[in-house]
Amino acid sequence: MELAACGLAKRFRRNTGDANFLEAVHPVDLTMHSGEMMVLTGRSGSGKTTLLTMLAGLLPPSDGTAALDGKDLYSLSDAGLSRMRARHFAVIPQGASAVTSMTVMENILFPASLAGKDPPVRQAETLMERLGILKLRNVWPGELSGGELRRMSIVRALAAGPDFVFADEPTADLDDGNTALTLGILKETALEGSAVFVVTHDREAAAYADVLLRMDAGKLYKI
Amino acid sequence: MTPRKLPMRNILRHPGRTASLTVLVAFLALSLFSGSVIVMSLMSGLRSLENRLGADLIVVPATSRGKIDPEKIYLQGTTGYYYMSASKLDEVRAMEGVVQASGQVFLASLRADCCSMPIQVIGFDPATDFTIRPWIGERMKTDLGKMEVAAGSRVNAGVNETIRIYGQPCLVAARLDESGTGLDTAVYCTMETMAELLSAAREMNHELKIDGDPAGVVSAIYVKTHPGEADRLAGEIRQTRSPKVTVIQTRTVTSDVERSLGGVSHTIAVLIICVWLLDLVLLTAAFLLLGGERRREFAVLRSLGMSRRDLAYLALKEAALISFFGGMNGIFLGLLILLPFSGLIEQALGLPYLRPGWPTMLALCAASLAAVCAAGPGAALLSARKLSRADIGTIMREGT
Ligand SMILES: Nc1ncnc2c1ncn2[C@@H]1O[C@H](COP(=O)(O)OP(=O)(O)OP(=O)(O)O)[C@@H](O)[C@H]1O
Ligand SMILES: [Mg+2]
Repeated sequence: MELAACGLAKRFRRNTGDANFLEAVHPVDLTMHSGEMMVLTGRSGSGKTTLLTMLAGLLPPSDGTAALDGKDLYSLSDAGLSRMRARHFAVIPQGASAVTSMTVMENILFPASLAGKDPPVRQAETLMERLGILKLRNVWPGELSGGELRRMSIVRALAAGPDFVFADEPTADLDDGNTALTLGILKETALEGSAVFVVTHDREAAAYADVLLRMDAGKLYKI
Repeated sequence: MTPRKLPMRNILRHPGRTASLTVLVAFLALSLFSGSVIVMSLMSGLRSLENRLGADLIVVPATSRGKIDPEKIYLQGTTGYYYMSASKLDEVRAMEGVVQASGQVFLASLRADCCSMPIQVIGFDPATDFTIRPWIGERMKTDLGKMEVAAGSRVNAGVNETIRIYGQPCLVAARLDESGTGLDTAVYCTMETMAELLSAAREMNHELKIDGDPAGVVSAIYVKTHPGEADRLAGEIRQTRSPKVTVIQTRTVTSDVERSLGGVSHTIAVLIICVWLLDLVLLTAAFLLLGGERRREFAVLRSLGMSRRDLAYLALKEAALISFFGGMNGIFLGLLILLPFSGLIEQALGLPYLRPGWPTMLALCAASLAAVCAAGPGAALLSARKLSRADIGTIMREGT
């Protein structure tokens, strides 16, 4: 499978001094392939999250298309796009993203039930074990630390084996050991056939990348 | 956890939020349910009063008017006694335009004979009666024998029990249907029995003034007239002397009641509408306010693959569940208030009050619940719309 961005751009309404809009992402051409890990770095505010959310079908672009196997995501109805996201996409958002009324394990298995898949209990347990949160399976998210929540959302994204993974600074609040582990797990996911898109400030991440990208003031550069 | 079970889980995991919304919804149910029960009770009270009265004119001794308001006996069950010679009955019966005339004798029992409060004993003449027998007949096939009584629904004595009235044992031969009026606290017997009771009462209570033979007195004369003759006959009867009498036209009693009933129902309806408007505004505001806190939660669910429709469904189903709980609570509270205190409500309103039967009550419960289950999600609509429309990309970046 491939996800192709063509002239994908985002403008926000905002007074920037010289204009009354902000070009958060200049037109981007980019293709994500199965089995490939892309790593995007760049300064804060350069437009990384904006690009990621557009690719992940969560933010309609001002211009351009993002097409999954030739089908533009944003030409679909909301229900159609949501179904597609549930089936093929997994997102590890930048902020906190636990559903507080579900336990850790329920959070992790929820996306599969949305996609109508069998609960991937085995894979979930294996990943939780590796990331050291298996004993937290029946705990409420409100009782977890930031790093534990982050690891929960990583397992939640990866357990059901999605075709596309979008990770927005997945290692931001993790220690060195867990950072290396997480990047390794994301790389494995790519090797198993997923397309992985990681936004990170982590220098080590470059070593895992098949494609390394950098963003600066809304413009995307291949390195 | 599946999307279908999520609404219930959200409700259970947020008891504070759930409780506050439930209270607001319960008020909707309580006001609608109890309001309509009260209005219906008043209407059936009036209808039963009209049926039970059955007479066009009621004639009582003039002196009694000062002491006791005869209207009160029918509407509220005030007990009293006043007598005149039965010759008055013959005089009235002989008048032109009278279809039927029948006498009744009233006696207030002493307390403690059977009941915690004094009860009204009403003697009637089975041969001429047309106001009591149709009603008693519904419950009793054979006629009342000597020293037998039929007990009103609020008299605390079962069939075949013996109660003592002024020391005289009386067998309860039947219990009557509820009428919602003062008639419910009375027992009924024939004139023959009444004469015995009057003699006994005169022995025990020297203030009871009966001239002559107790068998020869009546307290009230019930008159059925030819159509359109009631006004003329009332005037004619008022002219008669020895003794002077007061004539009550039942149509004025019931139309008085009807008028105040109209006022009360109107007030209740306005109250219900005010409560609903206020409560719906509050409820909508509460849903919006609580929805504000849930923007991030909904954005997360959306990022996991839920569609706008899924989210709207989630929000509305939560509202519907809360409405159901709240509605049940409100109705339950309504029953708790209405069932034990219907006597107090009747007293406070001063109108005949007859609670509808259980089938009607159940229908009212169901209708109130249905109304609330529609109103709750209705109030949540705006919030559900806002939550499901929100731009996820933006919310997801709004920090932690
Ligand atoms: N909804 C919005 N309205 C207006 N401006 C926005 C909006 N969303 C993002 N921006 C702006 O667009 C620019 C890019 O934001 P974005 O979140 O993509 O940056 P980022 O590279 O992810 O930064 P960070 O590394 O801090 O997460 C920023 O200047 C931001 O202020
Ligand atoms: Mg970002």
